Amino acid sequence: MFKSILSSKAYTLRKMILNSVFNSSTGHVATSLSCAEILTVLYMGGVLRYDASNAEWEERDRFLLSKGHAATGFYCTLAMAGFISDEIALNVSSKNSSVGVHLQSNIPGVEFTSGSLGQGLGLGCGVALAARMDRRNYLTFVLTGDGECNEGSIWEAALFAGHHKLNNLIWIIDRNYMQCSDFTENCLSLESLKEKITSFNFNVKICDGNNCNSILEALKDVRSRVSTSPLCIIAETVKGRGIPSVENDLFAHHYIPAKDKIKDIIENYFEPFI
Amino acid sequence: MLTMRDAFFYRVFEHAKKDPNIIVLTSDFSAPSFDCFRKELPNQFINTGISEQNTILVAAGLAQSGKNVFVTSIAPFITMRCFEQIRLYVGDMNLNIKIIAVGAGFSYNTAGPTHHSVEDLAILRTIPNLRILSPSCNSRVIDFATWCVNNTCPIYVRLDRMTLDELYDNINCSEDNGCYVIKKAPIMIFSTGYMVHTAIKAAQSSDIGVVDIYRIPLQIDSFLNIVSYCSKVITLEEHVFQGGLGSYICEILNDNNILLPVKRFALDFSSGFCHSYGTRDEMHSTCGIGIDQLLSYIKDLIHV
Repeated sequence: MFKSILSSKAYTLRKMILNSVFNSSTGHVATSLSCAEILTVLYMGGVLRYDASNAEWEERDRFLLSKGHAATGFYCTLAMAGFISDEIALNVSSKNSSVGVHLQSNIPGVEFTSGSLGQGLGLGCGVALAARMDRRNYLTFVLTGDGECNEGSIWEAALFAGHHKLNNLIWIIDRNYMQCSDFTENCLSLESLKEKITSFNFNVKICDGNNCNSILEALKDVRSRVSTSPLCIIAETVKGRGIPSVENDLFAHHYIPAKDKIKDIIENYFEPFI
Repeated sequence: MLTMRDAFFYRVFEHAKKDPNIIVLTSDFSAPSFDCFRKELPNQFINTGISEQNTILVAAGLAQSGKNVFVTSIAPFITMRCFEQIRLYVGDMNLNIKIIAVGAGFSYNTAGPTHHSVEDLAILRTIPNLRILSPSCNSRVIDFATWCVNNTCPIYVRLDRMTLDELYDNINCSEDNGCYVIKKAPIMIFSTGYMVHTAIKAAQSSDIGVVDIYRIPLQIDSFLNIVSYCSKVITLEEHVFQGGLGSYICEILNDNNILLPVKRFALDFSSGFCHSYGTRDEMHSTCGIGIDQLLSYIKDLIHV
């Protein structure tokens, strides 16, 4: 029952993302849709510990969105979780709006500015290290894209996390096999990604990143792990998920649906993914 | 006498013994003063490896979590390889990170252009919230170390690799001003770091004044007070022309409607970096900032 409620929440999030884009005619729709279930499970599936009325609560889990171009999806998630008003999430980049299409740290619930790729994992290493130094129990979650794993800074951070045995760090990769201009394997191939990351001393799991049940299963023991290694979850997703004409399309990265199509998309294409 | 690096970090170490929130990160840089941390405060010292981008990111994560973070490495590497991380997380997010760069200018003279730090002022002056401290001797270094410990703003400290003669014995010099008049005269040389010593040597044999600019941005009122009795400004720096100390001073004069002639001495890299070796002072002459060139200019100026 809970899991179908989560799928329904993901459906609501997708609609909100499209409504936000309807208002602003800007943003990155496809990448936000790609990670909609991941964000839903983290914030509405009982995974992250947070207090939306006290975003700076010291014992909160830290969530870092490294793929900052998915800010529209994240702002909508923060609105659904109660951190910010719907008005902020639905008026990205509009006149007098305090948020643009990339993530800004001046918004409650946002730990770090993001938009330049490849930064989140290293930031997460510092946050996780601080938790260990201070003997705090919070966990640090970092969501990166797969395309941003082209960046050397990702692998510098992976070396650091593995070397320092940051077992309070969870790196989730939105593995949609696409980046801005090409498929990841055509551009700068990442495979075999699981083996690569395992060799950096991570525990690695693979899940269906557009299926709430599968994501929950991958995260179910995240607070009771006995491993000394950091955890990486490769979440297999579809870029543009929910809009058949956009899914896995190379034009998906900068796709903005026409205003007169959005209502049609919401009514006809979006179905909860059970 | 201690190097600037060790003078700085021995002072930080004394504070760190009483404050576990002080964390030092280094990108595989070594020093006797670091050995104190390794031995006595191993939980407050991390060698992050040769990975400057990740070093700044880890520093940002620690600082965002309440730590007082000091990052140190060789100057060109900890400024340019990781410039974007500094721009976004140290500067824009205004985090409590101090970047302690060793090897200002031609400090690593024989190491060649890869190790010369001759663009850092131009680059880092563009970073919001970042204060630049450029000491000319160890007493300033020690003052700055304590100042860095006690303040939460982002700071870039450009240290010389060498040990420089003491200039500030028994002088109470306020950090707030950002500049100090070592010798007053109508024609003043404004300089920073190592080159302040060159300026002082030039001033010893002529009626020329010297001002040590040790913080950017400096306090504008203090600066304007100094230039109010100047008839000519000379700037001297171990840095490229573009965007350095001379540019900064020209900008202040322009923005305050002060019409003063300015002669800039800076590194002439119009045909490439300095691939000519020798002593540091010999390299200065090669690149147009030698004391011989400075004195020749002053001689002509005064005789005219």
